[in-house]
Amino acid sequence: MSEKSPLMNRRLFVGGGIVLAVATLYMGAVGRGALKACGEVRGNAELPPDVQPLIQIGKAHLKDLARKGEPAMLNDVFLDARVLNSDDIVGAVQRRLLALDRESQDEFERGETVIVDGWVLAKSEARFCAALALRAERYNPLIA
Amino acid sequence: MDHSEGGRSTLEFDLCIIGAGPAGITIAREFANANVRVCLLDAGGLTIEREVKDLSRAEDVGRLPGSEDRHRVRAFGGSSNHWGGHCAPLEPDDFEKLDWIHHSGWPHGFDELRPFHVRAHDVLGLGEFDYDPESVGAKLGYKTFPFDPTKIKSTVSRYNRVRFAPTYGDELNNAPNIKVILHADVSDIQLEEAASDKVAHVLVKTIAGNEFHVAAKCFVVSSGAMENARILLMSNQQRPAGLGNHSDLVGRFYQEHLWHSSGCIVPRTERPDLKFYFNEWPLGDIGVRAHIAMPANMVRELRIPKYRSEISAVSVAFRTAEAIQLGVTMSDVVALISDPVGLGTVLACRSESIPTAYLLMNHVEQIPNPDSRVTLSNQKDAFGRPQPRLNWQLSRLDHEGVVRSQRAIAQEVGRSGFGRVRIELGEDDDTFLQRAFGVGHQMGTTRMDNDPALGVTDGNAKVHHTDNLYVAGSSLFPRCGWPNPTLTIVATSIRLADHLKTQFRADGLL
Ligand SMILES: Cc1cc2nc3c(=O)[nH]c(=O)nc-3n(C[C@H](O)[C@H](O)[C@H](O)COP(=O)(O)OP(=O)(O)OC[C@H]3O[C@@H](n4cnc5c(N)ncnc54)[C@H](O)[C@@H]3O)c2cc1C
Repeated sequence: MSEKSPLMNRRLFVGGGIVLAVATLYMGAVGRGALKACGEVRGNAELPPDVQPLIQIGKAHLKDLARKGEPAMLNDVFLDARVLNSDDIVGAVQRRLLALDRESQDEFERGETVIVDGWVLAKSEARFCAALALRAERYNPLIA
Repeated sequence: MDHSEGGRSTLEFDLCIIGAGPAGITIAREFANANVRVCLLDAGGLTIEREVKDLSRAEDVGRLPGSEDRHRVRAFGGSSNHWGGHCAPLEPDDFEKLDWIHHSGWPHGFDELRPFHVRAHDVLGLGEFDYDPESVGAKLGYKTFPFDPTKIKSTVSRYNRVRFAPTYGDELNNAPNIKVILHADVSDIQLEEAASDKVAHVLVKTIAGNEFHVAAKCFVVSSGAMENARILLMSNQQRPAGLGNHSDLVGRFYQEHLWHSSGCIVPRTERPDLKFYFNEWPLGDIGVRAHIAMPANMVRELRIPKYRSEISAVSVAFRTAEAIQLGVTMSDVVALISDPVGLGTVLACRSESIPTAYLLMNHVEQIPNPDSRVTLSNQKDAFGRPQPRLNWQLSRLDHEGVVRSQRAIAQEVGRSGFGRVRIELGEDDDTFLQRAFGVGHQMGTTRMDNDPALGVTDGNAKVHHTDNLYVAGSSLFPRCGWPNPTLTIVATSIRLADHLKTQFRADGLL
């Protein structure tokens, strides 16, 4: 992992002593720089508007992470956003959802869950939705 | 033989029962046509009368002041005149002493009460003693939740709204050895003398202004958990702290079942086959319905009070009282957990179907809390007697138990692939305290313990430091579990009647 890896992002956030609102993080220089370093903002296909429910969960999760000051988990979200680095965004979402189904059941088994606005979700579910929310915000501000 | 003393007449019986609700009526019936003279006194008449009802008024100073007033019926038949008929027996671990619940543990175990629960079933007309959700569900063709039973179990309740007054009134009236006296309000229980442990008679007042005594060999106080405590505390002429109050325990450990909504389960797909949980369904002459509960192993693991939840199916359009703060709706979650084979499913789910959520309506045990108590108020009723003063209090563990249960349910619902759960409980105690209310199941004010330092009554329901004074009803319960109390009230009353029969036999009366 290079110096510009998510680990560095984590240091940046923690070192900064604050966790800014997610939108600011992402749209601001630090966030965007970090994502670029991970190679995550290449694709430019638009998300179909029907993933809005997932984006809703994602946005709520991002807000929670920012409020609770959990930069480590934010970085995981950025990492997850990689799967959306595709022109075939529908296919990417489908593939990820399919994998999530199995993953999330295992995570529930292990107790690896998060609470988003009261909803108890598997960590990777919430993370994936958050990645979608970031993606939507970047490429389709109307949806976000 | 009746006689007059000090201007007051005295009626003489072998057994005097104070209060004709399910407990008192059950005990009286056990002696119907036997060679024992029974007097059954009730403060009320055959209908609810305002003047009589006012004699039950309490000074309600604890949580939810004012709510208690609705619950008690001062009329022949007691609160069975408006109860829901919802019945289930206590479970084995309800009787155990648990290290995380202070003051837990009954003086006897589940097995001791089992035959009496079975006999109580007959009294309540509940049919076969079958509480196995699979077997009852199979009779109706309904399924149970596909959860691991060591994580979330299903329970079954049986419903029969027996009104004790119309159901058993004639039987009591026709029994030659039983005298039912209505509008007979017991105001004092008097010992033979201050140093004696033997109750001689009770003082009865009527709204017409009459007073008389009832003398008996044995007395049973069966006036409901609030009034049982009040009567023992009011009987303080010879023992200033009141009867049974040697350890300052009369009125303490007042418990209710806590009722509140805690969130919802959103299934991955519609499950009409689960309707066993959503309503009472007719089975012969009674109703049956399934609920979910924490199994004993989880209760131990999570160190919580006993937990049960009823389930109501609601449409996704339903919004619970607590605002959804970050805007994630049920549709959003359904979209996430629907069959993820293609995005098309997400779309269909969003646009076409009306997903259902299963609202969790908790009905949980309140743990015994010595500060939750009934005392005597400075305010007086029409007879000049102190009103009961209720200070109902919850404990931190009451809240935590529900939070931990919700998380465990959410975990299993996700693990089993059934769906997801939204928890709508504040992390803080305050939100919970504001939202949890009681359901008229008043319990725990004369707790049983064979040690007089720890109980008002012993394992046979006899008031400690008395020879012939007993208590019946849910005030005896050291812990209440989640089951609605009346089946156990009737069971413990039959057990007490059996014990009294043994006493009467020993005295050559039976
Ligand atoms: C709205 C509601 C719904 C309920 N639903 C259910 C349910 O579905 N399932 C369930 O298990 N339980 C239910 N209950 C609780 C149930 O009604 C009680 O547990 C049960 O009635 C208690 O029986 P009891 O005989 O101990 O006392 P009570 O029913 O309270 O009877 C006490 C009797 O004592 C008399 N009395 C009081 N003071 C005196 C006095 N000083 N002298 C003489 N007589 C006196 C009263 O007039 C009354 O008749 C419900 C309660 C309410 C309020």
